[in-house]
Amino acid sequence: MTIGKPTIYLDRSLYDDANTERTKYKSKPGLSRDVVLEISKQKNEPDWLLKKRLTALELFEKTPLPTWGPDLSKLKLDEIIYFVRPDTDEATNWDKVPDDIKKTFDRLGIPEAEKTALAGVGAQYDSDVIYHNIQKQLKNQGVVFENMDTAVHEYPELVQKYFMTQCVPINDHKFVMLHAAVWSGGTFIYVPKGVKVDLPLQAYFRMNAQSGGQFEHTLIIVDEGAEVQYIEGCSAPRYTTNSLHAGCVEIFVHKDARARYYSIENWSKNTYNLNTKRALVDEDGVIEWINGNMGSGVTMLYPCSILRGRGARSDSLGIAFAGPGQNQDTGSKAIHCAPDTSSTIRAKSISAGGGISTYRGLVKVTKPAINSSVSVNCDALLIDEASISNTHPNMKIDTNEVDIVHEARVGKIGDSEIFYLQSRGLTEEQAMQLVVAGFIEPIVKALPLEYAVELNKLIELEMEGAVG
Amino acid sequence: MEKIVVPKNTKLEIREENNLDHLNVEIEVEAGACLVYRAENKNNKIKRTAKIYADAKIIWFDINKNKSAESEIITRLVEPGARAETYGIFYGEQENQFSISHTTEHLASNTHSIMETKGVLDDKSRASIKSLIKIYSSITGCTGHERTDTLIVSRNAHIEAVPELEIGNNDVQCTHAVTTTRLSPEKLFYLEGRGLDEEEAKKMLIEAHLTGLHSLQDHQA
Repeated sequence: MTIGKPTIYLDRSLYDDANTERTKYKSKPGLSRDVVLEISKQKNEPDWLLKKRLTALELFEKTPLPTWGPDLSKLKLDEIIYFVRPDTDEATNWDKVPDDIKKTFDRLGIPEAEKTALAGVGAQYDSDVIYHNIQKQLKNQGVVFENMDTAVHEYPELVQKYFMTQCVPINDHKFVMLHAAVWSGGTFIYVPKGVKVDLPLQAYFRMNAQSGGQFEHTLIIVDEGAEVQYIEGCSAPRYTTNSLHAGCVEIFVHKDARARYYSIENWSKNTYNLNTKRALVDEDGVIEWINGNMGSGVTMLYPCSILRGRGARSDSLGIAFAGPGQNQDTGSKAIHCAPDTSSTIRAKSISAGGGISTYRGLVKVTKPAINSSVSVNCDALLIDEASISNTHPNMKIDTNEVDIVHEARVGKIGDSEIFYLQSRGLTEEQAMQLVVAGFIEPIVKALPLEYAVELNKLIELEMEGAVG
Repeated sequence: MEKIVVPKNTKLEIREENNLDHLNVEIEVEAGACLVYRAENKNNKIKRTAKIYADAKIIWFDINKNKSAESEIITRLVEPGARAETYGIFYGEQENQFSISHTTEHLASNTHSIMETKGVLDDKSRASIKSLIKIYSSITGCTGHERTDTLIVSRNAHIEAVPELEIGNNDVQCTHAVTTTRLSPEKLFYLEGRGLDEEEAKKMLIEAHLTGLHSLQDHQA
């Protein structure tokens, strides 16, 4: 493992620098019926989808902001630009992507990773997907990996059946309503019965416009006995005004299927990341969530698994890093609705320089879910005296034939650990980084190699200056 | 409102017995004093708050058995060296409902708290158990541990447990744990194999679940 300052230098400008804006359409700031109509018109959407958008808008206008969790009073919804289309069309070849946009994704390492480690890649820039490609052999097996906008036209039956119906309905909460009204882009994946996709599929979401909002929708359907891994990466440049990300991920894991969802969210620190992720898992299906939340000023993200088939399983691993000025309100939810279901939640958080990290979770075991088991484990590490850590787990148990365990620990890095490592020749900062690397190891181990390296580097970058 | 002051360096034990619907108790445990406070709640709503001064200690036993109750205990550790131990026991039958809320606020450095609740829910009984350890920024050298263990005996019982931690600085050691379990079929089988009938075996396992806090009570008596 590489540690120590000389080897950890990571140029934050990689994420924080913006391109000059070249757009073919940009809506006026603020949300209105006209903006929603314009989005739908430009996308040439079917009537049912427009109706859904407009119903969601009405609900959004009627619903107040949540009164729990982080303070959202500085989020100026009237100043956000809800629809920004880059001046390019979707390509299946990187050479056809405009130079400045391609350069951004080059720097993020996406085309290179596509060649070596991925089965398919999608790239979204503001409101539009600008690149999408999948290995030919998977296409031949019937695997669909498409831009969500395209899927609306090409797979209307599947989209109408699954899109914001039973998994995340449009009336779920305020930001789902907003998302349903203005969503644009995102990923649609369908893996047919029995097909196993070995290499991960990846989508990268980049928000470039100032005061922009990104509302991509990800819909993953894993049919019976199929398997898929999907990676999402996100970043945005740093402006002085706030940006908003309110994406939505819906995953359907059918009987005996398996889905693994990774995301490394690294939005700039002026971004409000108010995201909704949920999976519906049928009989003997498995959903695995691996989430890293590094960026954003405010994050509210609680991936949820609804285990509705007998023997369904959910594993959730999460790490949140809250540096100066950041409020990471994250957690995980597991709702057991069927017998013999099991879930594990492992959450780790690090707070430094006055950052606030909160674990907010829910475990609900309903009456039919006999013989279920739940294990929740959250650990929080506080780097300095200004850091804040909160834990708000909620466990609602409605039946007796269950085994539920929840544990949490909050503490600082032990002086004796640092002393021991320093006596072995490390500097104080190196020692701290080594302890932190050990703390997050279970999460890092679950990530594909390139992401494990990125996560480690990001944490080391965020830790810089945390000592002394 | 009832107010109780435990003078400096004294040791006191209080057994609360009351038949009131509502009760508010305020306690101050002065420096170096120690108070053991036992309360058995019966169909009532009771709030107890305590301030604990330097090197003083309070041990609460909040007992909820066979009678619905709403019980709230707030302990504020206001001077260094103060210590609070809050133990809750609940046993629900028929349609008993318990709302139990225990909070310890650390308002001074080098203060320590333990909160432990154990309970059994049978028939259609329900319980909501909330516990919170709050340590403010610049309050250092504190430890806080909370744990709730519930044994659910009936399919129609319901538990909601919310163990919370709010920590404002890094010089602390805090843990919390929650378990919800059933009567283990293996343990029942073992006991039945040793000649106990099902009812006796169940009774023994329920007693075993609560035994830790019962013996602690006896020890403090």
